[in-house]
Amino acid sequence: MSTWTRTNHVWVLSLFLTLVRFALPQTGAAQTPANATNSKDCVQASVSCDLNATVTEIVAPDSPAFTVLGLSPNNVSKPNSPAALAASVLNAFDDNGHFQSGAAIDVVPFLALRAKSHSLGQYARQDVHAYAIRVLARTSVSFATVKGTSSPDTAVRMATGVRVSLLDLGDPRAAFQKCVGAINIPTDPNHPESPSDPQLASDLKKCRDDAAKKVWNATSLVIAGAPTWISSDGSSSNLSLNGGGYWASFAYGLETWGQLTAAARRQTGQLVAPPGSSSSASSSSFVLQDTTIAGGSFKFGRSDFNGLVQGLYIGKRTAGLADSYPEFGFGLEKKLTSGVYLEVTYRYDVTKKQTSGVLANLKWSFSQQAKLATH
Amino acid sequence: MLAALQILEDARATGRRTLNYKIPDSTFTVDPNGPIPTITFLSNQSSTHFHVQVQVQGGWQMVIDETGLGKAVPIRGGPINSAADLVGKHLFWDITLATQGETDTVSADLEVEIRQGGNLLADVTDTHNITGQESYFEYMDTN
Repeated sequence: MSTWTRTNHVWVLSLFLTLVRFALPQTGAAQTPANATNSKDCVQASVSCDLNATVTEIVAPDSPAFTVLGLSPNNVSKPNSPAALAASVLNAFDDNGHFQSGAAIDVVPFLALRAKSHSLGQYARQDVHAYAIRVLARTSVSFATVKGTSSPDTAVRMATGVRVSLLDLGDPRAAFQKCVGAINIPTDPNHPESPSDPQLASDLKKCRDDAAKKVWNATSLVIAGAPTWISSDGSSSNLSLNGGGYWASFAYGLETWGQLTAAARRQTGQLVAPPGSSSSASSSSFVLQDTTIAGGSFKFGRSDFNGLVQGLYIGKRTAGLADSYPEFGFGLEKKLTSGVYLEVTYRYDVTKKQTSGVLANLKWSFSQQAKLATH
Repeated sequence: MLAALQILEDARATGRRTLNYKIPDSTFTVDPNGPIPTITFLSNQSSTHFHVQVQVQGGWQMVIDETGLGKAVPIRGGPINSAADLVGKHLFWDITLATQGETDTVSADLEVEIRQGGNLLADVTDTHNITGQESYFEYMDTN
């Protein structure tokens, strides 16, 4: 009875808050629904930017070459053998040695070239050799090309990225190997050719399932870099260096309830729309931008309550003009009942320094799913 | 006949219950005055515990029950306490290799080395495609 009553109280409270939300005029910054803000990152626009998205954006990406060119290719070649790798590289060029537009390759060289290495069977061991193998098996190389789509920008831009995971306590391959190594089902020498014990398949399935589960707060250290080149005529002989992107990100897990992260990104030679112009400006009016961003976050939570504290420092030079500013914010999220979350966020707004009181920047909203969820 | 049908039915019911993979029998020679031989399992896949059993009167006795690829494990246990004890024995080993993906078909390498001191007494290798997992076994005789 008391459970029924409590559930109804939560629903009544939710309904009341929802009605208040729609009944009250949305004046000022306070009590503005979060979804009313744009999801602009805090580098291009410090006003109404998405701090959480920006902190996430500076974490070392899976495929640095794609990220630095701003691509999300649908057809990524992921070769896993020497022959497939050679074919992928050859397919990136046409018959005249010019880069094919839209080439996208993402490969782990060690796994493609040394898939039969017995070192892989000793992947989870606790020694220097096994650590070196783990780092090699977590090192990926990405390659991408993109061609300007309209005159006069018909140049081909190319990026080659490397991502190295120096530390990953949530490594699924290592987790799987440790789990499998504990399975102990001897074969009967008198009937060795019988089908394997069904318990074996069951135990292995559990190992696969457990290894596939992402540990949300795993400790990790990743570095990545992707220099970019430009070729005015698309030929490999006319390539010249054109900036690039470099990342470092560290995450430290706090038991099962929290995570500290720190990340930095340096990106140079980016073409962006001039400040104050629309994003649909013609490519000929784009200006060069270099950015350096460093930031971090502290996440904590459990199934019905999550919190997030974030900070960023942004330094940028756009068309020769230098600018730098900090960003700071926090968010709390409480699960009211199934499918109803109350989210409260605060962001320090650099453009409103004189009114940066808590209320001016405090926002709340409801959502049907957790936005700050940690697990 | 009934046993065969039962095996077939079990295999069909579980789907993933493949027959264990037999490596051809082999023989190696042990120096009875030398150090105790070691056995090392190597693979590019993950493995469960591996076992070495020796035939004794009335059945089989466990000699090695270990885990960890690449580890040289002394063939010592049960009735075998020295190299001399190993001479003239009928041995049986088994191991299961597993792939991380349940439906991935990959080329699995398995190598089993038996050494005595610095000498290689036996080197068994096998390479074939497996899907999910496969249990291997071999009978070995010693001189």
